[in-house]
Amino acid sequence: MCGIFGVIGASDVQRMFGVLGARNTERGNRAFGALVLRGQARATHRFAGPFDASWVPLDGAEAAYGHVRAPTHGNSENLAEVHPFETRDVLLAHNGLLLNHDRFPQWRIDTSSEVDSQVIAGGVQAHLEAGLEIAEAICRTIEVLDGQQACWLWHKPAAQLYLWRVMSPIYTGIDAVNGNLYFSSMRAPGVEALLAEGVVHALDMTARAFVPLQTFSYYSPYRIPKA
Amino acid sequence: MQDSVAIVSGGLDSVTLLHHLVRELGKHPAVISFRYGQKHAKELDCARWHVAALGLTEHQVIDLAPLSAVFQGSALTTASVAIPDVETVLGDPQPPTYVPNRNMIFLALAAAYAETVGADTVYYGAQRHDIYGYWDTTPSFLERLNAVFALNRKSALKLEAPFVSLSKADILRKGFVLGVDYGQTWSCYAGGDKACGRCPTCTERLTAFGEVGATDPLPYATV
Repeated sequence: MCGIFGVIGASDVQRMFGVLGARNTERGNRAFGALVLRGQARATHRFAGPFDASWVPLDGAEAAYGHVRAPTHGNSENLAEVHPFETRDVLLAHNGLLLNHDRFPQWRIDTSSEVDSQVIAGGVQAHLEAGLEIAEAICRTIEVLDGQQACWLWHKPAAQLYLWRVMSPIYTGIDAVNGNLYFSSMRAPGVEALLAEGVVHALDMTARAFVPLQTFSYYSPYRIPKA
Repeated sequence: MQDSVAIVSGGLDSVTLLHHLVRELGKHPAVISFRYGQKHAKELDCARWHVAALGLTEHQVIDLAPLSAVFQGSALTTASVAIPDVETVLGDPQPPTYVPNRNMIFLALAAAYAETVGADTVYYGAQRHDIYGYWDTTPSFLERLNAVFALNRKSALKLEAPFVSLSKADILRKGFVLGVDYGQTWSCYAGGDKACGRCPTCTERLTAFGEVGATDPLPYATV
């Protein structure tokens, strides 16, 4: 269980990464991590302890994607278990809890770790290596995983961000003035549109939006009744 | 003679568990329920109803309300903390509906009661999806508490959660086979005359009824 968040837009990364990270701290205060993008350059950072934006080098960043951790598996002090999880082709951060991750030992990135989230990254990587394209690789992975998921995934070869969710929320927003995009597990001012459940979304920089790409099947014991 | 203790709140899961123990497993449980300052204390009337319906004679309703100062901060016990909608709590590792260390305290008291009545097993109604928000419903929690109770030098006591791998819909299917009257159960956290239909437990309950193709007999304010 945890919180995920992100800021896309060079003019606002420093401020809004701190705002959204702080907003998500009630979902996780044991560790935090980030992926920071500057042009073609990519840097990941992982820290133990409560979120502190000042620890993340954000100067000149054009986008930053974060994660705050409340461990349900594994050791809260072990930085190897702090998101994002990385494989050859993807970086992934997850908010939620998987109930059947132990059925997929072949997808573990670190066989010594109990952390459930790593099998999502490992599963996507396995499907990519089997020749699937990225959206299909994501769907094939998450359709067999039972549990709550709100994830951001960075596909390294295409330099492309994907978001999806099952039960766990992801709120999105766009700044009407500067066009910056935001997402967050916790609702925040201007970040209040709930992303559709059961759909892989891709960041479209031209449309300045998270666009639906592919639907997937899932089980939720919480079907929110229609008003 | 009681052979076990069952913790029964009066909600859908624990009431079904009680029927399962008595009618499927042939157990003779002593029942324990708790008043801890919860807004939805009307659930206790449902617990009493099922204890009587099953002809059980031993039922303790333990009044922890005088200790409610230690359970504050939860939406279930604190007037100033609103019962959240389900949308806001999903994915939250410890949502506002968590009651501080409540389950550990309930299980400890149930274990004491089991020793008192000479029972060897304490049953409680944790189900598969409780673990999304509550650390004190996980299989790891149960396993470690059992390790602690194994230190008891005279009373061999075991905690069991027979429904821990079942969804609420699975539990409901079992309950329908057992003939459980779900009109005499109460789940809603809000404590109104009608169930709110929007809190996490109402949503899960309504989803489960929908999943099995049945209609919840409870009155709802918003559904």
